[in-house]
Amino acid sequence: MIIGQKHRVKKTSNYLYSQQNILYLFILPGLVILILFHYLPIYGVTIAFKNFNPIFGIMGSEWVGLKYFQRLWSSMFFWRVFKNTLVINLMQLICGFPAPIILALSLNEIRKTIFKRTVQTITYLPHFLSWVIVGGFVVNILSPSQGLITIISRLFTGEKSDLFLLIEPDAFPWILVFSSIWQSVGWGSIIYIAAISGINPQIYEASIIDGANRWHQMWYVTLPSIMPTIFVLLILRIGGIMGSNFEQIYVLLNSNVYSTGDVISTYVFREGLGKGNYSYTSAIGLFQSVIGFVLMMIANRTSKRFGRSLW
Amino acid sequence: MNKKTGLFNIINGGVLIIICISMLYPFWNSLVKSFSSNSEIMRGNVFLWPKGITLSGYFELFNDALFFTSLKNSLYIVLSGTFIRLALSLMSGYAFSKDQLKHRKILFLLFILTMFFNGGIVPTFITVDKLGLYDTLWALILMGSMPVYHMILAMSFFRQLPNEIEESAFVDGASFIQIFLKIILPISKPLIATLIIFNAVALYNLFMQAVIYTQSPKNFVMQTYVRLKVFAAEAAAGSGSLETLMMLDKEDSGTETLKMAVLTLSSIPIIVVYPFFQKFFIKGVTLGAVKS
Repeated sequence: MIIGQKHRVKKTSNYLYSQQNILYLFILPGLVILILFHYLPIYGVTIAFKNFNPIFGIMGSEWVGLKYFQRLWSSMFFWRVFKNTLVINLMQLICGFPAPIILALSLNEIRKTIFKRTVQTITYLPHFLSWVIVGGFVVNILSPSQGLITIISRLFTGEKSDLFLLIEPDAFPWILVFSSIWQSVGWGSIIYIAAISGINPQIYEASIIDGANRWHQMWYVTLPSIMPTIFVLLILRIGGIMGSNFEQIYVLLNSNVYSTGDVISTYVFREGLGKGNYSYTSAIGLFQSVIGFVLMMIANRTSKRFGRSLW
Repeated sequence: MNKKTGLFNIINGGVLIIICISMLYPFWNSLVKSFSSNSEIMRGNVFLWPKGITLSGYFELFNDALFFTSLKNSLYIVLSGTFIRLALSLMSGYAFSKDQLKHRKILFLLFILTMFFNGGIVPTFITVDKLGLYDTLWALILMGSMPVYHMILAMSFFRQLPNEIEESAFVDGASFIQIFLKIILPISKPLIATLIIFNAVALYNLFMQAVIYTQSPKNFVMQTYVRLKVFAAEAAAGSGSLETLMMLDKEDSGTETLKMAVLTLSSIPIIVVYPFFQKFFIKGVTLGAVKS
C-alpha cells in the first residue's frame, strides 16, 4: 500500500517533469512579442551614439559617440522642454495628487449609500475616455465664441469673451492640470476608498467615546490610517516626474504655447518622427529614461527605508 | 454639535453635487450642441438645451465614408487585439504560476523589465518600420499585445486556485495544455471578464500609437477620426498656429454641429458599456493595489 503510493507520487513527478517543456510553449508567444517590440527597440537606442542613416540601418550607421548628447546639452530647445516637463509634472503633482484623497475623504463622510454610489459612478466615468475626446471637451468649454467661458463672461459683462485660454502660454499648464484632475480624480480615489474601508471600525468607536466629532475623526483617524497608501502613491508619482502624458499634451498643444507647453515627448515626436532627426531625439529619449530610472530607484530606496518596497 | 454636523453634511454633499455637475456638463453640452444649428452654437446661445434643432450633424457624419472606415478599423482592433492580449496574458500568467517552469526567475525578470524600460518613441518607430508594420493595423494590434501587468494579475489569480484541482487531472494523465483549457479557463471567468474589459477600453481609446504608426486614411481608427474632425484645422496644419486655431473658432471652419456629433457619438460606446463593467474594474484596481 505504502509502496504503491510512493510509486504513484514518483510517477506523477516524472510525468510533471516531462511536462515542463510544454510550459515554455505558454510563454513563447509573449516572449516573442516582447523581444520584437521591447528588446529590439532597446537595442535600437544605440542610435543615440550613432549617426543614424536609414539606408545603413542601426548596425551599419557610423559611431559618433557623445556628439548628440553634446548637442542636446547646448540646445536651448532641449532645456526648454526639459524645464516644461518638470514644471508641468510638479504642478500636476502638487494640485493633482491631493485631489483624489480629498474626494475619498469627502465621500467617506456620506452616509446615504445611494448618493455615494451615484457620485462614484459619475466621477469614475471620465477616466475611460480618450484624451482626444477630453481634449474636444476642453476646446468646447474654452472656446471664446461658444464655450462655457463666454457664457460666464456674458453673464457678468454682457460681452462675449475674446480670450482663448488655449493659446495663452500662462494658462496652458493650468489647463493641463485641471483637465487631468477632471479626468482622473474619481479613478484615483478608488484606491483610497478601498484603504478607508479597511480601517477597523473599533478605532472610530473608541474615538467617539473620547469625544471626537466627525472632523476630528477624519483628521486623527481616517487620514493617519491611509497614510501608508498615500505615501506609496506619492513616492511612485515623484518617481515618474520625468514622464509626460503625451496624448493629453499632444492633443491640446499648439505653437502659441510651445514656450510653456512643449514637453520632451512632444518635442521628440515632432523633431524625431516629423523632421527625421532620429539620433538626436533618441539621445533625448535616453537622457529622459536615465533620469526617470534614477528617480524611480531613489523613490524605491526611500520607501524601503520606511519599511515598504514598491515592488 | 448636531447642528454643526448637519451643516457639515450639507456643505460636503453640496460640493460633491457640484463636482458631479462639472463631470457631466461637458457630455451634456456636446450632446445638446450636436442637435443644435451651427449658427445658434456660434452665437453662443447653446448652454443647457438644444436651439434650432437639427439632425444635420449626424446626417453629415453618417454620409462620411471615412467615419465607417474608422469605426470598422476600431472594431477590428478591439476584437483581435483583445483576443491576442487576453490569450498571451493568460498563457504566460499560467506558466509563471507554476514552480515547475524551468528558469522561472530569469524569464520572469525578462518580462517584468519591460514595464520599466523601453526603447523610447524613435527607436521603437524604427523597429516597427523595419518589421514592415508601418501604416498597418497590425502595428496597433501587436504593439503592447503582451500586457505584463495583466500577466501578473493572471498569475496571482492562478496561484490562489487550490492545487487539488490540477493534481487529480495530472494523475489521470492530462497535459498542461488540457488542464489549462478544460479546467483553468472555465473557473477563471471573473478574471477573464476583467481583462477583456480593460483591453477593449484601452484598444478603443488607442490614440498615440495610431498617430505614430499609421498614416493613410484607410487605417484611421475612431480616435484619429475624432482628432481630424474636432481639431480639423490644427491637424491639417500639422502644428496649429494662432491663425489656424482662431480659424477653428470661426463660423466657416466646418460645422460645430458636426464636431459635437462626432464627440458625442465617439463617447457613446464607453458610456453604454460603462455600467456593465464598473463592478469589474474596481476589483481589478484593488487587486493590483494589494499585489504591488
